[in-house]
Amino acid sequence: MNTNHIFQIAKWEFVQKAKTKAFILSLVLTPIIMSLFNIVPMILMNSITKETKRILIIDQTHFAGTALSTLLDSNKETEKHTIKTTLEHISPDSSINIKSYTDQIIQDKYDAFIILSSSLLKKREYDYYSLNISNISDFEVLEESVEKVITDTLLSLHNISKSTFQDISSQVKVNTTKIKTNGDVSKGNTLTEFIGMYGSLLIIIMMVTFSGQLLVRSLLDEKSNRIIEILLSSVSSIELMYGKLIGLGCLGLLQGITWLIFGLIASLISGFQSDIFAHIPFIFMYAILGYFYYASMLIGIGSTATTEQEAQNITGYIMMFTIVPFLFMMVIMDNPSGTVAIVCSYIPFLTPSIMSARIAVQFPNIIEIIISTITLVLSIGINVMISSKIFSIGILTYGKRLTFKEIWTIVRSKG
Amino acid sequence: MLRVQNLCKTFNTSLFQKSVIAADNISFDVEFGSICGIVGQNGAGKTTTIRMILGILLSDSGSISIDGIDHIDKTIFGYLPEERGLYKKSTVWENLFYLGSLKLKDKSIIKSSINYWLERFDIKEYKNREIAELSKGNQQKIQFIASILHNPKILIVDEPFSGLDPLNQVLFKDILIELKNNGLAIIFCTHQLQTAEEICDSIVMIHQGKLALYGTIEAIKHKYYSDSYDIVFDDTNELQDFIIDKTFEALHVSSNKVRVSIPDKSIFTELLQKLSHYQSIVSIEKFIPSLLSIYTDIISSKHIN
Repeated sequence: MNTNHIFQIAKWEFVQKAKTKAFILSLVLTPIIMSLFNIVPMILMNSITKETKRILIIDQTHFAGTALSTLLDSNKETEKHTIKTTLEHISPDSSINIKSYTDQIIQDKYDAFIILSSSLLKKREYDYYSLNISNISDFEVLEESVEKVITDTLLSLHNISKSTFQDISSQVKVNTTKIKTNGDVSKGNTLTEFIGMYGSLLIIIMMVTFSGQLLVRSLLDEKSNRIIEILLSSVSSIELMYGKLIGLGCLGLLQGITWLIFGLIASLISGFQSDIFAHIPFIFMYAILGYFYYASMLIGIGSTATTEQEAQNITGYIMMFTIVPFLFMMVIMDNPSGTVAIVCSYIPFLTPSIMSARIAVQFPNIIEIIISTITLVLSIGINVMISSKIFSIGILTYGKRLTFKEIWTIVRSKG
Repeated sequence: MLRVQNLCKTFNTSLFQKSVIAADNISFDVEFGSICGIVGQNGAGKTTTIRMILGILLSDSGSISIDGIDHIDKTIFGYLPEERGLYKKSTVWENLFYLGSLKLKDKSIIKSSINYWLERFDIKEYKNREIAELSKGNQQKIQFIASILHNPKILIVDEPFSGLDPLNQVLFKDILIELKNNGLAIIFCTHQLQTAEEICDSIVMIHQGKLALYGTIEAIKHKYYSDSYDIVFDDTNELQDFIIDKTFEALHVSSNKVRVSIPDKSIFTELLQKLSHYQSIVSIEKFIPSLLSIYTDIISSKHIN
């Protein structure tokens, strides 16, 4: 095998793809778009002018209505509305004419009406009528307020002071401290662990998917314009395969590093702290191995594609495996050293993502890292062996795609 | 000398279909400083044979050697395939430098060679243009340069003149002949038999995967129809009488000419005696066939041994 050939092909693949507008845009735009998805809703939420929501409180209790009205008018505003209430007392025995109140809503006199029935204390429920019942933040405020009114009433009925009740019912807060395998400790919580795990999975999946798609597209381009024959008159099909794998792998790595830099900057700005930053070399090792695992499969099967449509189908099917680890995310979060996590760590197509996720939550035993790495490397070797057989035939197949039976015959052949 | 010996290649097109024999015992030699034409119908096995020579495909059996050495370094080959392909979004220089770097390590030699050939083909001003911006003819020039810029010992060109205007065809022919004179062994794959006859020293004709014909142009012409004579009549009535007489079988008849087969001298004497009865004989001359007529006859199976 001529290493100069492999180097030249890898260099060509890297340089030619890296300077395309599509790649440069994806490099910068992807993290920007991802950030925008999180930031824009927050900006929109804060920038919207709050409207006044007119609520009619129909009170049969003669104690809760006034308290609720005062509470809502004085301090309460939801994320989207300020609240203005109108109170109407009716006798506990008289029936309520719902129709007359709904008419008032339709006539736009009020936005909503609440019925505090005489059984409020007993049943702990109230009725809410409005044209729009989908605003969750409004309900949170209302529920909180009604609950406070009920609690205050019950406290005074039972002669319990509010301060005593607060002492009794105040929430217990847990301060989490993570012990690392080397004995160090650090502050952290479930959310930071989740974000760290999710981020590492995302980087691996995006790197593998992006580079894998480029790999198959590059093959298809060279096949369709027949330059593949010129290349094969200069280099062997194995050299061509390795060159492509390495060149596009470097491209994926450049992408991963760029996104990581964006991530670090974003975490510095937002004050987000996670242990994952200390384990980046391991995450990248699994990302690179993950790329080689999937790419070595894609290059073999992808070489049999004869149209863009076929190439997309092939890439799609194989890339579906990369998102399987998301199914195990919650299990790993719950128990990163459990049987499911350990078993999945040794299944080659899951290894990169599962190990990265485990590293983000709780750094695994070094023996597990070594065994999973060896397993993955051996699997890559097997993939390369099989793919090189398919590749050498597939890249010279035009017009009709090889059938699975034909591919199987090629794989089984000795040559 | 490039020696191709008993090359065989069978493709299993599908598990449940018959195998296709693409090359069946193909043997021929190409001397350095000569042009060998490979001709044959579409699907005859030309491309498979070329791919095996280039090492793109492995043969099932047989051997390829250069000056008796079986292990061939791919850098000695230059290849211009029939289907033109370059990286359309990359510049002329990038394309040539990349393809050159797969053959040569010395960057300065690659650069000077690219400059020389761009100048030679009068397209130096396009070197920083993207391939997609060039005309078809200029793209073909770039691809031709890519096949020769590393000074190959053996050049394989597949339909190099297709799509070229007459002036560029002449330019390409001149350069091929120049390369031949510089000692290159050139394999010229074509359907244009007239051009093959014009520039080739030897011909390999492949038909249905088999070697149908092989030899120098002269030898082939002597082998086929070497016993045929064209007799030209002034009087067409006499021509008709000669044909109706059937003493000599008419192989081919045109308005005032008939071709007959004369396998040996005694029959030739007999012919002369016969012709002495006709008053309007203009000429008798030995028929030298064109490559096209030999090709046509072979394809119609007249001469496949």
